[in-house]
Amino acid sequence: MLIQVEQLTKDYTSYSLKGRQAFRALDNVSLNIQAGSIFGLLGQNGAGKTTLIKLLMGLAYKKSGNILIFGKEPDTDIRKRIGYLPENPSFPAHLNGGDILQLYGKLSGLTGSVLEKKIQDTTAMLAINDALNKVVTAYSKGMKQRLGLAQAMLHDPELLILDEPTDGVDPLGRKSIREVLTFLKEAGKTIFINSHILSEVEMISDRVAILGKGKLLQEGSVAAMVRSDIEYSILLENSLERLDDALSAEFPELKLANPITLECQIKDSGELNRLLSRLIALNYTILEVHRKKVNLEDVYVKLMQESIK
Amino acid sequence: MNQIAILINYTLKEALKRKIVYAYLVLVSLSLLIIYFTTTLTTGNSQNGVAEISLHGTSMQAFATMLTAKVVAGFGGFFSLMVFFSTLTVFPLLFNKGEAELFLTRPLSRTSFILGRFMGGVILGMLTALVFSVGVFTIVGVRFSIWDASIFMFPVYATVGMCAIFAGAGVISMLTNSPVAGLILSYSMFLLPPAKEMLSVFPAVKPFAQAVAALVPNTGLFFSGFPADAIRGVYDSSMQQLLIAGLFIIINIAVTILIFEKKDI
Repeated sequence: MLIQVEQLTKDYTSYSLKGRQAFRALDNVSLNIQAGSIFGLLGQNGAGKTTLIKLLMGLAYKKSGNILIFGKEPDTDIRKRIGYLPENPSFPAHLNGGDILQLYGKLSGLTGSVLEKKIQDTTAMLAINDALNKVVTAYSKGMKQRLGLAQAMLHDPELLILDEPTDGVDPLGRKSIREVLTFLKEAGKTIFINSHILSEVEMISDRVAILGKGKLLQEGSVAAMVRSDIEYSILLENSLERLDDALSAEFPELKLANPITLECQIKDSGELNRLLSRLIALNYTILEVHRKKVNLEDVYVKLMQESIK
Repeated sequence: MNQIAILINYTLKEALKRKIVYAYLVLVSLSLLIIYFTTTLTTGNSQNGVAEISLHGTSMQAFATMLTAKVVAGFGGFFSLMVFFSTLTVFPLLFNKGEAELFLTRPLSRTSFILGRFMGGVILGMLTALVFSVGVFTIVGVRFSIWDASIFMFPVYATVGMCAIFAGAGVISMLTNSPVAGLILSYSMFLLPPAKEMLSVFPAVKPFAQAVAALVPNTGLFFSGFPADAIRGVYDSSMQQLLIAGLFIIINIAVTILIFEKKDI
């Protein structure tokens, strides 16, 4: 495992006239991230996503638990192997894009022609090579994000930790960033993404974790998550006013969406067959069985609603 | 050490792209031109010139020293204000979270980060003082053919003053989580001497005022009074303050690093 997080807990303390107040940002979170994969971290604002990233990067200090990256506790030396894009990168306002990449490249140990080549290649890949002589204050939000991504990729790190990498980027830009990330994954890099854009995470991630109020609500492969919640709608010829009591008792998830449509979450094909057999036995005429496509957003919304309850 | 050098280089490079630094150079040039055109040399005690200085009974060298000291005493306050504006966003903004994150996720220790930014800010301030000093040295030399190097005491004292301000700003920024508040409060060290005088009339707070004055350097004098005295060859008043400033700088930088090492970014 490239990243191992075990029972990680983080508290923030604030002081006011009311006294000392502690807030638990992360509560016993455990995660394992495989090398060469794209891992998506999801959660509402304040769920603890950025806190988790800051703990991984050594920017914040844990209360308890363990973090191992490349098999070691995060330290200054390990950052040579990590590229990081913060949620709101703030660049030195008076420098141009080229100067900024020179600075971060040098701090990462690159020099001379190697650094120049890396800057050229990375900015060409992210389509900002024409803007390197522009002062960074003249950059659009999307260009700043791409510059942020460029500085994270510059030293060819094995692990990229990206906090909202496509925030403020237009749809075409988002597509090109997705392509870059997929290319990096194919090149053997491990990518950890925190994003609000669920469709994007679904498109590129191998595994995702969903955080809610500092707790890990669910973790697994994207394919397994969207498969675990298969929903069917069944169109009937007969019009119904209410569901048969015996049927409701046997299939508690079964709902009457309208007088001729039943909806039900089904765990597997066996359960679907059983439901259909029961409906036929009860003299219902089935016109159509439609499998509703469940995406990551549906899974996420459902989890969030459950966590609020 | 290499990382610190990169940070110093970057701090200077970034500062030199700021308009405020060029505004400073223009203002220094204008001030030097004023000195050039308004200072006249007389052999009597005439009071007609704006900055008329009498050579009566003094040597040319003594005259040059006197003129230089007057310029430093007169322009020191203005200079410190210019330093404030030209370095306002250089050192204190190191605590800007978005910017600090990008630095601290490199193979760079927090101590190196603090020292690199601190030294970058101080070197920038020292260079601005040096520009002013070279200007005065040149103007006095060209105008009166006296090449008096005593003006170069000014960057020495000004640098110590700036170190003290930045060191104070570091600790206050850490405690308040506000870099700008840190710098403003640190600059308020200028107000300590008059505050001490005012508070001394109240017996209850007099010991406290004296204790603060003994622990906090009188930074205002490092930009005018002390270098002006040093140019005249008088060091008595500044030696104790140099010692206080030295201790103040070391303690404050150490405390800044200690807090920063434990702080969540």
